[in-house]
Amino acid sequence: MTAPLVVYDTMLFLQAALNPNRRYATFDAAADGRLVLCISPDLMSEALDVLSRPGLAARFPALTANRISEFLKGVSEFAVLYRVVPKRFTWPQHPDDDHIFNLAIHAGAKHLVTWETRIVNLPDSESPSAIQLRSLAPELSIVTPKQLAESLRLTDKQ
Amino acid sequence: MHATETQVTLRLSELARSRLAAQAASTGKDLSAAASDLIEHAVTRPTLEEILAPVHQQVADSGMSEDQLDDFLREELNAHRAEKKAKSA
Repeated sequence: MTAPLVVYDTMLFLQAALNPNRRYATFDAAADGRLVLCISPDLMSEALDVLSRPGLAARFPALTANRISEFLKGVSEFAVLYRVVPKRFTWPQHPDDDHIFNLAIHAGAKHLVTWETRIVNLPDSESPSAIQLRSLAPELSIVTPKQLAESLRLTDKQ
Repeated sequence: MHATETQVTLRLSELARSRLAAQAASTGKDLSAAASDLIEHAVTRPTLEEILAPVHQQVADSGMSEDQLDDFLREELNAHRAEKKAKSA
């Protein structure tokens, strides 16, 4: 059986770098092959840019450029990189998230994983963006890391 | 680095074998040396936990709650996006 493809939003990368308690099973499951993590240049570059901000370095000096680079390199080693991601979807109210949706659509991901309630709730709405997303990615489910961890536990039990 | 010889049998797909052979050829090594380097790298490279352990320790020592840390990270992400938007405007 092929492992499900997943896309994690940028916050999950930031949390993975700073707070292992917030990761739940997300990165571990990708590292051990239970999930296939999809990444793109836009996603990795956003994670790099935010982790490299002076505000983070001021609070946590151990978050050095070298550690950030090693962390993202480590993630890249077990992820699948989609070098070119067509821009097929846009959410006019929140265009900053477009790259995550477009990666999920392009990769044919099963799960888009995020803590953002507005993103989790999008598929249930009847807005034009929700309708467009359902049409472009009818199989995509948007879940929180907790929900993903729960579904992995259920799969492991089966 | 001191290395000892360990006999193993590799069971590889045709694709993996041909890629290993190509890597070996491009670096002027034989198959055994190329496979040894790959295994050495795979089993000795630090885990994500090991790489980030000093960062996690600083976060724990900072006294920030998990919610405070999440808020802080979200603010930094939003600030980055706002700056990027302003630059491209």
